[in-house]
Amino acid sequence: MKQSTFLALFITANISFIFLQVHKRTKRIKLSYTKQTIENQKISLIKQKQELTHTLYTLNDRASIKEYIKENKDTLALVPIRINQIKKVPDDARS
Amino acid sequence: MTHVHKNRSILILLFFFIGYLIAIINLVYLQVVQHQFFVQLGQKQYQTSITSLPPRGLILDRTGKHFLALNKDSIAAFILPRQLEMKPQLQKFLAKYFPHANERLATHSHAHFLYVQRKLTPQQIDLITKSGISDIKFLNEPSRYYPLPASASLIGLTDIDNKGLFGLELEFDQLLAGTPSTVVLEKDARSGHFYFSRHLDQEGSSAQQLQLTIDSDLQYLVHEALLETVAKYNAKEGAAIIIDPQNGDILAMVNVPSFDPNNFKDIDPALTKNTCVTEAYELGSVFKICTALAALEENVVTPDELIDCKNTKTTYIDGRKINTVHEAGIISFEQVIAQSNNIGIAQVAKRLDTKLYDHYLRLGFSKKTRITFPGENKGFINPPANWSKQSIISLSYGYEVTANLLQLARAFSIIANGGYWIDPRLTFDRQQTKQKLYRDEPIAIVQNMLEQTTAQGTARKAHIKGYRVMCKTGTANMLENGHYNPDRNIFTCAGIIEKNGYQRVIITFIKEAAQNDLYASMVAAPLFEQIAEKMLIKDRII
Repeated sequence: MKQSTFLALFITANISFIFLQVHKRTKRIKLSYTKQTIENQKISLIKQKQELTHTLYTLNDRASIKEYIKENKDTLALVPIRINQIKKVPDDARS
Repeated sequence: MTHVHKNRSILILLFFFIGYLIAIINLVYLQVVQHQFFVQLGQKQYQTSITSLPPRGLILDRTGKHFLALNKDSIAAFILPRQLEMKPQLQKFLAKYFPHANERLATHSHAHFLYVQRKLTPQQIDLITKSGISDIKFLNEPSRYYPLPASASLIGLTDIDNKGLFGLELEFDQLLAGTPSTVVLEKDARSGHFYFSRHLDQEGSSAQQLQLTIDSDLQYLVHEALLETVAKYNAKEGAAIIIDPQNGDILAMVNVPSFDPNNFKDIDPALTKNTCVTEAYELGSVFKICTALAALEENVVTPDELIDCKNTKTTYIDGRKINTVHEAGIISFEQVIAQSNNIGIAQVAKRLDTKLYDHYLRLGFSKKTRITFPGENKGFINPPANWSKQSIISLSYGYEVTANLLQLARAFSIIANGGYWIDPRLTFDRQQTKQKLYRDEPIAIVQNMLEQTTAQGTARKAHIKGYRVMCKTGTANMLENGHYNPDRNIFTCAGIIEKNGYQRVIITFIKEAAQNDLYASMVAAPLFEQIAEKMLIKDRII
């Protein structure tokens, strides 16, 4: 092999290695960025879930529901039930 | 080369040699001696250390579907006093709406960071946003939301830094909080939130969820019933417990008045106690059933033995005055319990003597229930060494002995479950030890006595048709300046309700009603019935 060919091959190989190394680093950073973006999205979604759960529980607040029933007792006609008002239907009579 | 030239050359070489030597020494000093310092200095420029706590563990009820404590970010407002751009406007705004923050700013004008206020209300956030003062910035902070205020004194609270302050939040603080993790991020000045690499410096533990034995629906229903009764009698306090006597699960534990756990600012520390556990009382006649159980276990009496109750409301035993509410003549021991006659029970107790003390201990009084809750008051039984002639009489009907309501619930659970020791529990991880304390026969007799008391005796108002209800009531005078005050009473009803294998122990308690001529049979027994009915409908035990 000629000295010039060897040198050309040597330099090309080195440049290729450097390119691949840079490419690997870039790829890694890109994937890391994607991962971090997804992690941030996850944190944001957890916070949203927290907020929604809080809203759900605020809406389901038993005291507010009771108050609503009291305010609208004429239209809703809900009254407290006593145990002697409940009759158990026997299993064989259900069908 | 002349001699002069040679000397000059040596001088120049020496000069360079010394120069290089100084440079080498300096390099060695920098690279070797001060190596660590400069490494750290370099790392500081591209490494950031972040310590973070995991989100606090949630608290759930026994179904695992309803939350009793949730996480919810709160908003804090802060300023950076060294970087203020609109200082006059800021000071004016703070002076008007946040005077405390303004005072802090005046005294700490060179601080790096100052809170304006934490846990802002939506109105305050709106106010700051509309003010247009860019120096006030917002920060999200973790905090708690409690969906069921009825369990406030049981669950407790976290403080402004989200650490358990009292109640179960304090008891299980380590478990709920977890431990912080520290990570080191490699980043440059322009990368912002983005980092190039991340190393775990110190691994923390994640926060755990806490599942309680509490039934949130039942807790709410009991709270409603209790509020109604306390309001009806204009009483100072009320409390109630529901417990499963087979496994010790506490299904509801409520006391009123309580506090709003979501309104941190207006909390009165006096109302934060879970009085079911942290207070011990002389409970009066409910203790007669414990005396009866002890007497039957020791075979010193039979249920049909006739006891002379002297046909009077006041008499003397061993020279000691003894009062009872209703006079009775010669009645069976079963009727002594049903009519709650102090004279009759005192005579039986005298046969037990110091054994009564041992039985109270055996039933768990004056011992902590070891419930996972801070600040339990274990109560007190006057020990035989301190007894006067009055002591055995007083002890037989619930004086000279104090107990918390959970201890009473445990004693009734022992009666309900056939005489086995039970540890009341708020979390499922606590295992029970099957230790038999009482024979089946005395337990069965005591259960029948309680049933009679509910069917015909003082606890008639606790009766529910179609169910086996076994109750005992107790009205006790409160001790005031060394004397029992008949105008200040506590009313208790303790009992068992069962049907087809379903069994619950319910304790109801009302303290200091405004009206004077009341008894537990009129106050605590109807409350028992009300709670039991709500519970049976909820659990569909029809």
